[in-house]
Amino acid sequence: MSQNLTITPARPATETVQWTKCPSCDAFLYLKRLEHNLKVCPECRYHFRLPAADRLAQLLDDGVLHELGQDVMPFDALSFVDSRSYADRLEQAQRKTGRRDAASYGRGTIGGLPVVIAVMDFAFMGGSMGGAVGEIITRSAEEALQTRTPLVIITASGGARMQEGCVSLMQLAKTSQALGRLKEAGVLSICVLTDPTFGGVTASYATLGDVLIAEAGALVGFAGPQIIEQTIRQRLPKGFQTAEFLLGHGMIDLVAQRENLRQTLTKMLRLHAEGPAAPLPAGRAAALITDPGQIARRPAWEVVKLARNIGRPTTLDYAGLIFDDFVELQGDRLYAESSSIVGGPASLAGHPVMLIGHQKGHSTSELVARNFGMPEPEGYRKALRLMRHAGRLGMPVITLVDTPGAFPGLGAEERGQAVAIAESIMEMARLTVPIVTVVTGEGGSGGALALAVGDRVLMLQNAYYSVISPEGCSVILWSNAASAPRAAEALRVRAPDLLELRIVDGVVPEPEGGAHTDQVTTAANLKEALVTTLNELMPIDPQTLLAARYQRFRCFGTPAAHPAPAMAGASAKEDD
Amino acid sequence: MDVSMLEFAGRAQDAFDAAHFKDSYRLAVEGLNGRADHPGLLAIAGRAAMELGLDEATTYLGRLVEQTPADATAWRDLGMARLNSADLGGAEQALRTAVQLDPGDSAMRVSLGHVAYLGGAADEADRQLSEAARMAPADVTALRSLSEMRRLKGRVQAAIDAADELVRRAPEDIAGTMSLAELNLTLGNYAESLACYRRLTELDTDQGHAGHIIHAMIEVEICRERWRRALDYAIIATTLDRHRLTTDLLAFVSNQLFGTGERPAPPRQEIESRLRARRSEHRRLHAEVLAGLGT
Repeated sequence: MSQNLTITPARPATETVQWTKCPSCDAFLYLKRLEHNLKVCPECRYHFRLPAADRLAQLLDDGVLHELGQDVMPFDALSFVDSRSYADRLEQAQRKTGRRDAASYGRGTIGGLPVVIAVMDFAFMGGSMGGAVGEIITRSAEEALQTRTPLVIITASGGARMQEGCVSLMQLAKTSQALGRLKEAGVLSICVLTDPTFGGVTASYATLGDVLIAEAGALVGFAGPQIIEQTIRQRLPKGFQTAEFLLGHGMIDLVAQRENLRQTLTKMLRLHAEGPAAPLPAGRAAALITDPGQIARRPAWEVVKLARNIGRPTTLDYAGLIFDDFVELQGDRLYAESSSIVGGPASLAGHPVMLIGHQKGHSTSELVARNFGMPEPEGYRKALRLMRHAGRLGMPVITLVDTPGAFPGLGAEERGQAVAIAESIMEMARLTVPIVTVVTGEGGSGGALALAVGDRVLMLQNAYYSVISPEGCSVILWSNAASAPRAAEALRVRAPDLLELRIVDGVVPEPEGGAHTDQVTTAANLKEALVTTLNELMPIDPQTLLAARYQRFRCFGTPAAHPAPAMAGASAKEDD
Repeated sequence: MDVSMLEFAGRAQDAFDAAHFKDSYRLAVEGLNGRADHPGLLAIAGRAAMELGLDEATTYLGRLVEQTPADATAWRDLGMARLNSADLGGAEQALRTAVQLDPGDSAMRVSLGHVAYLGGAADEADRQLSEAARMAPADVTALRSLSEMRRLKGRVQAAIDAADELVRRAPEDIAGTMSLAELNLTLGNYAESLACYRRLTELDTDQGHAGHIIHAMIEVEICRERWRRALDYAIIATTLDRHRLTTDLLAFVSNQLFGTGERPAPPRQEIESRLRARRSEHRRLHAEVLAGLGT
């Protein structure tokens, strides 16, 4: 049976003039204008649901799909009958939609980059997933695996198809294991969740993609809101299960407006394409300092104050100044989005990398919104998720550290702050891609180390890195907070001190007055350091890299293995 | 006319007919480079540009009507192209000219009616759509819009008249029947409303829609306070689902009949509001279908 995947209008608008009405705002709309607006109401921005053919037309280059799996047909394994037979219902749905079943797949390109794409059509029996839909999704994943081509799945479904009983239920396992293989093999998968996506589809392949994008306003969930209300006997909050709700609860990476979806996908595909084999081109900024003697020493307390300066560049500032096409991915996929840590793929001198860093702000409101750069467990779990993503897909990881510490709060403890940090530290040690860490501001204890188990750990000249804040140390050991400057000296928190102790491997120079006085120069210096370091690390094979990283952290505190710093005590004396 | 021009026009038209609008547009524009006033090429360039969503559509079609001022179709296309460019006044003027040139074309009147409505001329819209409906008995587009426009203007009885006519002409039209049911409910014509919902139980067999219809039927009975009948429907509704609205409805109707029981029920105002939202959701599902097909 052929399928209606016609992706150009069969009848020109000038032949039959058509009108429709927006169900949301009651505006009368000229259909052609609505189509040109990607079926988003120009008056109220209501997103009409799209048939599979329209989706493909909007997303694929020239709307061209080379359809595969045309032999996949639904069948009535149970001879199911409700008020009508399933066979009848299938036949009616096929007649109504011109489709074989609720999903199709094939090959195409988006922004010139090849993809295997599977798309669901809600108009066919509510997009429900029976054997045929499961088969299409599984085959699309297998095709992507076999050809090592990124997989894009567009979902729209009410869930598993009742009329196929447990055969339908088994599609959750069938599709999930196929996506699992894709992940193991390091082939990118992106799921685009459209309105509505529920039930067995959300509980399987729809939420297993490396990247989850939801269309603005889409309703996505496991159980439907009516069932939840019935069960808990409470009214649900406004906006419950919308794409925006899911984003706030850490379940998806980003929300895209329909008109931006193609561009977002293009960017994501480009950022996951293989980088050039050649070394990253170096710039002309100041070189990384590896000799502590070359660094002018400020009093430690002055450095602490510079590191905390509100004008100091943040991770998002560096994302804009150093990298191209940074796309922020959000959420821990478990509980919440924590904005104290940001991360996502980006391009560094033409090479895809995963950028992750603490995020503060330049104003009180920004700082409050970012919890002063003090992450809750969700932040670390998001970072870990992104690091694993990078590991699977072979992207070097760059972490920028700037935190007073992990957030000391009731909820953070309840949700396992310590566990989140510990897991991050351990997993970083085992990640099979190069990791470069740069302490850009405050390196506050475990909250900093959770992002700092790198092959190379660098530091900005006026950053500090410490096991405890100078104030905290002062209170505990000097019984007052006023001795914080002394504590800062004693803890040896400055870049040259830590270079001597081999805690850090290099120091990134800052402009004379500090990074905040010239963000552009600071960023150029940082970029130079990152390029130099990655050029050194990227040719190393993963096993050698892992062994070296293990040794790097293994030697600390081991007699003989950890050399005594040449200038120990000198700086403390200087500042007394 | 030279041969190459004819060839360009033929190839551009073939591409347009095959819905290859980019090719069609390119060929027509190439041809126009040779002869800028060629009406056939102007028409294809304009129409293809319109399909591609290009603003140039109004330029080519504007030039076309200068060449062929008596061509109603050219004026119609110009009107629709201007509408695409959000030029409502220009669209109305072009469509009005088209209708004057070809008063027998009902589709042009439908568009003129819509454009007039968008411009705030509800009476003019009503006139054009009524005339279009009279001229094309097999086409319910005009009646559907007419009914909606009248409803939006608060002329519910007139809206019912249009919806009634639509359903008479297209007895299997789900959206039309639903609209008629709702309009009758609004005006307190409960028996007529219920009859439409009963008809919908036969027409609207999509999965999950039966629940919407039975809830609407309960709403009708609540409105006319026929509690025993409402209870019957509420019991039927529980065979379809046990969602909160259904069980709340059962409790609410039971309480009306037998006095307050163990199961507390929401107040009537809340029940009515939730039933309205439920109807709205059902209407939305069918409006999505209409948007896919064109009304």
